[in-house]
Amino acid sequence: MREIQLSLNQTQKIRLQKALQKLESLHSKVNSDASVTVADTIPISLEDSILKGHGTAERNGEVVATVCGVVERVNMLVYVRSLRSRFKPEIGDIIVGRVVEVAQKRWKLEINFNQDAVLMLSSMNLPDGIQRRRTAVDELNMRNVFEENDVICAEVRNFQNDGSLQLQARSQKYGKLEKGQLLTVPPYLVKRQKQHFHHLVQYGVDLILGCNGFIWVGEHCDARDTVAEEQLNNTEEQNTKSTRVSENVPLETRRSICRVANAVRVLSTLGFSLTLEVILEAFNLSSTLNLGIDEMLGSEFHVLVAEKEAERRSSLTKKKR
Amino acid sequence: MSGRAGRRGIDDRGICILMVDEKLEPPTAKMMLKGSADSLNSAFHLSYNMLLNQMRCEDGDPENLLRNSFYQFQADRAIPDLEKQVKVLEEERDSMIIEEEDNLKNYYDLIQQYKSLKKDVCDIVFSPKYCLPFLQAGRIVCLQCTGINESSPSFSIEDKVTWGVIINFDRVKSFSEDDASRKPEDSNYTVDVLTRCVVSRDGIAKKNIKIVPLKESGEPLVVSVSISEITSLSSARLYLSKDLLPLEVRENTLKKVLEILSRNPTGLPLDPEGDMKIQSNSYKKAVRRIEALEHLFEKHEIANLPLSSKNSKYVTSDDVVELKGKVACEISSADELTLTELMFNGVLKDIKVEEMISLLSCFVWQEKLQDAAKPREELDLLFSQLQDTARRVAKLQLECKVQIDVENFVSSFRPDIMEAVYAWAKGSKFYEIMEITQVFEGSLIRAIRRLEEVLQQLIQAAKSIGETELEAKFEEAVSKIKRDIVFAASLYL
Repeated sequence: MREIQLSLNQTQKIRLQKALQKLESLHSKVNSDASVTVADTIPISLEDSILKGHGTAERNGEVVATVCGVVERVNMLVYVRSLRSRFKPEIGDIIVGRVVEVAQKRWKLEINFNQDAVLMLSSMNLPDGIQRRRTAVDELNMRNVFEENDVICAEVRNFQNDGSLQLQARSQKYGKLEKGQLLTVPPYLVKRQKQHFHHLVQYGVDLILGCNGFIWVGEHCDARDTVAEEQLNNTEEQNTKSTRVSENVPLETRRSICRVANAVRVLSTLGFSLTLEVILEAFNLSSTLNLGIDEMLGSEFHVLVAEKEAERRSSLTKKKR
Repeated sequence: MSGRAGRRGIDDRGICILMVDEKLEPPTAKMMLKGSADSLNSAFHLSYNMLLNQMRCEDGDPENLLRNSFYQFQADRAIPDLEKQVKVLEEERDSMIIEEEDNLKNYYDLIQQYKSLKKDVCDIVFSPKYCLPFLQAGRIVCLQCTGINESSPSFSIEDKVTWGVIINFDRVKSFSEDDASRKPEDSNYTVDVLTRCVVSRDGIAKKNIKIVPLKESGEPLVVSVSISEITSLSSARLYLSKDLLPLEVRENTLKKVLEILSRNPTGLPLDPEGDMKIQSNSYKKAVRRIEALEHLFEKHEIANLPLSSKNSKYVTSDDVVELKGKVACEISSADELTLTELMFNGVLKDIKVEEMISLLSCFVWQEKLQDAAKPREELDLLFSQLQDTARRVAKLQLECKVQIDVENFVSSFRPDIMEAVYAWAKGSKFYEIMEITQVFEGSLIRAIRRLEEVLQQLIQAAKSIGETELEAKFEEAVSKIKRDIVFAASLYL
């Protein structure tokens, strides 16, 4: 059983063990014999022409695994899917990253990958919204769009020759993220889904689950329109920027943001996959129990969340049958 | 008229001389030179590749793509015209008053059903497999008279039929199909029948032969009819005289037919199950069917394409693109589904590079070549594997109610240039491979260039699934075909 870094007393430990065992029992039938570790031989029938995919290698005429994980087969393709690994980007993934450098006609972003991602100036909508060639003046004004340490949301466009990512932020919902929190979770907890942008209407909170493990929780913006923001920025001077940002967010929204963020933290400590339903469950649990926001990070709440999740999943599987 | 005279990049003006070797009317020539351009009709077709790439992004909305396309725009433009037509037809319909319309409608529907059921029975009875042994010389047959107007529906169950005598039958040689592949049972046959006809000469030496009932006036002639025009066979057979050229002999034969008919008004039909020993289950089903036929209702085109992607594991049920789907996303120059299936079945892995190149050439060659030489045995084996895969893909689409004709789809992959491309991959010169096939040079060059595009996309696809051997194989293939005159950028070197 994986180690969970919590200080639990005896009863809490037992309860947590029980809940985790229940979750295991719900899912252990699938593929338990297909898990392999490094240098395990993968059983294949030698007459077929097997295609060897990621995580495999050929040694002495046998196919062996090079990573620890689960063996997947698609027709004649055999590959090993690792359960906990570094972030592996795909084209079309939603990424949340932080600007580390403003370079010539591009921004370099840190995205929890082995290399920094590149966001070209031409892959970004211009402040005035017109489609035109980027001139030298645009290049000089790059810092007005994004600066170092800004948090940005973008989409993977393609891979460059050296393996680094090229991003694009051409749609209205991509761009600079303000008035919120950035959380880091292990990237394998965020599975690829149909939607990664969630708008929690009743709390006025935006939740962006980046596939690289960076999660953004912040105040809801209708259109991340750099046009209006630029005009505002130009009329007021830069030194009032930081105070202006924190002024406009109402207290209730800030509380909700913190609650959602803590819910995500709890789930990531427990190692549960992050989906909207699970996060909302944890959120509702904490509000029904009237827990203070800081109490959510205590060990008691962790145990409660684990039990609740076990309950929810068992009721789901019962419904399916 | 379109085109360009002069050398590209060097001449900015050119002279074009039009030489006509046939008599050409001035208006025609004027239309050729000054006429309006061809109207631009959109042939937009939403392919699986487009759909999968849209599903990859969070915002992808394929319906939006279709809605904003030029194809949709043209369809919308045509709506007012179609509405006008609908109005006109509706007025026409309302102006026609038929008494007891409902009863009549029911009766008409029943007649249509009856006719279609009868046609099904006929098809089975007259499939060459069963009826060939009975097409002997001298047998009396019941034929359809020509001149039945197909467009005006008849309100009676009885067709206009007449009788005749079989003289001979022959197999039809069809030009487009490869004769060797067709079994004798499947080909078409024509039957030579002696019956009463009316011959009319139409204008410029063309004879029009109409088959008419025996009692009407006309001459006894031997005509060829296809099996589909025979409605039933009789168990009665006449003794035919050897020579049928004299007119009296033919008249006498027809008179004999009339006598037999007068004695046996039904014409003594052959019982399909008893005499002809038709045992097939489909026949029994058709005969016993009483219920109305189900009509497949047409669903919208888009709704069915994602379903077939899901069924073949390209996309999960939550519309997240899976591994197979990612591979299909990379391939846009050829049929992505069949090619992905081929790759995942390991077919491309074991064969040699030249053979793989020839197999891939079937995807890029869309023209129909007459009298193409059959490729050698190994290549033919690969081609049949390709056809099996294509058939499976088409059947899957059919199950998901996409309107597709399986055999049409499978036959769209042609093996005509397999030999030529094999030779090119082995290193022959261009004039050598032109001696192997009869295609135009330009078509062959275009096909090989397109093949190189497909190979580049396959390299990306192999990289995404992690198969390094296959990737190296594709790269080797590219280096083998990318050479000499086929890939020269310009002929003015």
